[in-house]
This record gives sequence, structure tokens and C-alpha cells, in this order.
Amino acid sequence: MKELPLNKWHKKYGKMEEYANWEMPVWYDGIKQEHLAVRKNVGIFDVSHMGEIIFSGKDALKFLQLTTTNDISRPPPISGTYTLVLNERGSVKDETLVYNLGKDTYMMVCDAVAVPKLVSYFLALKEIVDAFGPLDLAIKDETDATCLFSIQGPLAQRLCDEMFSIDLTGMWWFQAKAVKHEGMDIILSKSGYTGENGFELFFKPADPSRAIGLWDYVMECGKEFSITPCGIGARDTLRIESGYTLYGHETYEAQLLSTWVDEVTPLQAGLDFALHMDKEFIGKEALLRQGKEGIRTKLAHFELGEKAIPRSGDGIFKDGRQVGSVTSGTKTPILSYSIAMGYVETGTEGDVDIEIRGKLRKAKIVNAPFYNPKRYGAYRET
Amino acid sequence: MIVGDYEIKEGLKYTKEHEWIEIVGDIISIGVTDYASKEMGDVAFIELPEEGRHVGKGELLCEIESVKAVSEVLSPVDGSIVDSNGELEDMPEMINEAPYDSWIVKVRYDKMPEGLLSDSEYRSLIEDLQKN
Repeated sequence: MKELPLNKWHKKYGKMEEYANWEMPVWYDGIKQEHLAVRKNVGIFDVSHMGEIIFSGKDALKFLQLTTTNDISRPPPISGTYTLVLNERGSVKDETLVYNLGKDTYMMVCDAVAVPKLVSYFLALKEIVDAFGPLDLAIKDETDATCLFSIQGPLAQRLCDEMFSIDLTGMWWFQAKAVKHEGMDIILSKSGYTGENGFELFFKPADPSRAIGLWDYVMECGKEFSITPCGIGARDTLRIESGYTLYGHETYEAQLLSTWVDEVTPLQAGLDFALHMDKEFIGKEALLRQGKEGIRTKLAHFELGEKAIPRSGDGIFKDGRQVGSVTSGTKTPILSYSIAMGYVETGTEGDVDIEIRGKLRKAKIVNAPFYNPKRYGAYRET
Repeated sequence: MIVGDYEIKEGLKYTKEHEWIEIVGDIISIGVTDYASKEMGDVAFIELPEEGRHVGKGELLCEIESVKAVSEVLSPVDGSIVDSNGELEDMPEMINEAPYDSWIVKVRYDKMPEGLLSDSEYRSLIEDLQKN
């Protein structure tokens, strides 16, 4: 199992669990409290387990345009794009962010569980093309050398402004800037996974003490904003409450032998916004075919009438007939009922039942996010 | 008494599954220990069993749901469920806040339960767990 540079700190204050072969903090004082801290003030997550794959060379842009769904040709300096890696049958190998770092260099940020699969996939593709004439392309997994701290919440910008003596007002989502802490280069990106305004700090510490130094600095500056360290438990409840998909839950590769279009594709997961259909990319053919034939199931969001928590795999029923199953579910402290996401047959609307531990519970289909966007999230009014 | 990060209440009986047991006459009250409540994290929901049901030793009494996972409370005795703590349905977080004040079910046992741990035996168990 791999350890984060801040492993000792996390172990001292948090409850640790293995996730994607990393020893990760799940919570410190509790998921509930950490969840609320991000919705009300600001929280910091050490998500250094996240993958970073670097693509460099004159052919890097073209390679990434052909292997991911969105248009990543936005100009530098350092802009990011949310883009999907699909297989040839149209289902999601991973959901990623690709940053154009300039000088023909791109950083792909991907899920920790998907890193080994993606690296071997990209290397295999490169090898095939290289056989016909070598590409000017290097692919390097820099996950272990790269740290990622995520600072999230309504006070995140004030904290980051103060920490780096800059004004981050007006940044667009996934825009990034180069900043420094005691000489160490940091890529600061407006991004996150919580529904709140937030910033993520990517950096490569020369040794663990540099990571610890930055963490201490954030915690020290964050005192006046009541900063709370948060584990991956709250990261999950926050993303579910925001209605965000997670690879391995809402998006995954699953081959159906009878067809050459997989369950589930971005069309079913509601990720159409990341599809740039004016270019060629692996998986496009399957999506076009599925678009023509129509989709059989679609991701939906559910609000329950009570606190029992639906878990991945629980059946969803409409008028006594199973119409789908749950992919993620949780109970969050700002809502008095449980929430879930899952796939149901297209056309399913209104009231449904979710079977939790053998008992049918009432639920209804709603729109994401689950929180009131006037009160919480990046677009709150107050 | 406090053992590391955990409280153990003196005078109660315990199980290896981190339940506490208070015996009054022929009725036992069952709850989960401070250690168990901290391991499961924020409790979000508890499904209480119906009263009158007969349970065997080791059978499922009820399930406690935290944000992360579901934990089972198993019956330490053969007996009949006589009462369950309805307050926990509205305030399941009480299990985290005051685990020893939050009894979950009361069971009238068929015969005096055996093999329960004393508070000092449970203390050794918690000490061993913290060494690992």
C-alpha cells in the first residue's frame, strides 16, 4: 500500500483506510462535520493519490484529441478541460482533467484506481502508431511524485488570495495559474469535486517535508476562516450531494456481449457536455450509433423520504417492476433524508421505490444538485 | 475509564463484537461501545427490530447505518426482544455522542448469558487493538 507524504499527520489525526492501493484518511473528526465545513466555510483535502500522467512532445495534443472526448486545444497558459477517455464501445475508461501546461506538455489528472489501466492503454496505443513512424510523444506517470491539495468552500478564494497574495476573482472553471510557496512551483487550478467554489494545488515536493510545509502553511493561514481538514469520506458525500459522477460508480466499462455499444456511455451518464462531436476520438462511432438507436437507461437522481441509505446495487422499482439500480447513495447533514444516484429505464419519472435490505422505501426522481443552489454551492446567493 | 482514544464504562459487561450489556433482573440492555461508534463514524440511521421477536445468540438484532457502511448488532443471548429505543430513530447521532447512554434494544433472556467480557477484560481487548 502506498503512503501519502503526509501519512504521519493523517494517521495521527484521522481514520485511515485503503483506497486504490493508497492509505488514505477517510475522516478526522467525522464525515458530517467535514461535509458541513466545506458547505459553510472551507475545508482542505489531501488527495495526492489522484493520478497525474504527463504527455509531452509535438504530437501530444493530437494524441490526446484522438483519445479523449472533449476539445482540449484551449490555449495556454495552463488551462484545463474536463474530458473523458472512452473505449471503442463508448463506455468510460475514466473521467479526467487535461491541463495544457504550454511547451507541448499536457497533464492528465485521473482517478487513482484508473492510473495503471490508463498508462498501459496509452502506451499500447503509442506503440502501435510508433510502428508506422515514431511519434514525438513521451508519456510519463508522475502520480507518485505529484501532490494535490484541494481547498474547497465559500471561503476558499479568500484563503487562497491571502496565501499567495493574489486576486483569484474572475477565474473560470479549470483555469489555472502558476504560483509559488517558498520557491516551490505550484499549479493552482480553479476546480474541485464538491459543488463549492474551490482551488486545487498541484506540486512536486523535492521531499515530503515540502508537502508538510505547505499543508502547515494552509492550516495556519486558514485558521481565521475556520479551515477543517477533510477526508475522502466527506469528498464522497459532497460529490454525491452535488450529483457528480465517479468513475467506478456512475461511469465504468462493462461489456455487453450481445452488442457493440457498452453500458454505460456518456450519453446515459448525462456527460454530453464533455463530448466534442466535431472531431474524431475513440468511442465516437459507438456513441453515434447509440444516439441513433436511442438509449435504454439513463442516470437519475433520487431523494428518499427517510434516512435509510441506498447502496450501490440496490434495486429501483416502478409500480412493482424493477427498472434500474443504485450506483451511489448517502445521507448528508444538510438534508434530512437520504439521496442516491442510479440508472433507470429511460422515461422513468416521479415516484419510485428503492429496495434497501429487503424493504421497499419511497423515493422520487429529482434534479441535481440535491442541495438548494441558492443557499449552497458555487452559485449561492448569500 | 479512558483507554487511549476510547471510553470504557465500568460495571458493564461487553462482547468481543464491541457491544455493551447491562443486566437488570432477567432483562439485558444492549448498546454499542465508544470504540464501535468511533469505528463506524457518523451514524445516520438505525433500523430497530420489532418487539416480541425471539432471537437466538449470534442472530441479527438490528443494523446501524453510518455514512460509510452498515454495521450489525448481534444478540449476545437467546431471548425475546422486549423494547427498543425509539429516540434513536430521530436522533441516531446519539450513538456517537453518548454511546453508553444510548441503549438500543432490551432482551429478556431465556437463561443467564455466559461468556461475556468484564470491563477489565474488554479493556485488555481495546489495549491490544490499539497496539496494532
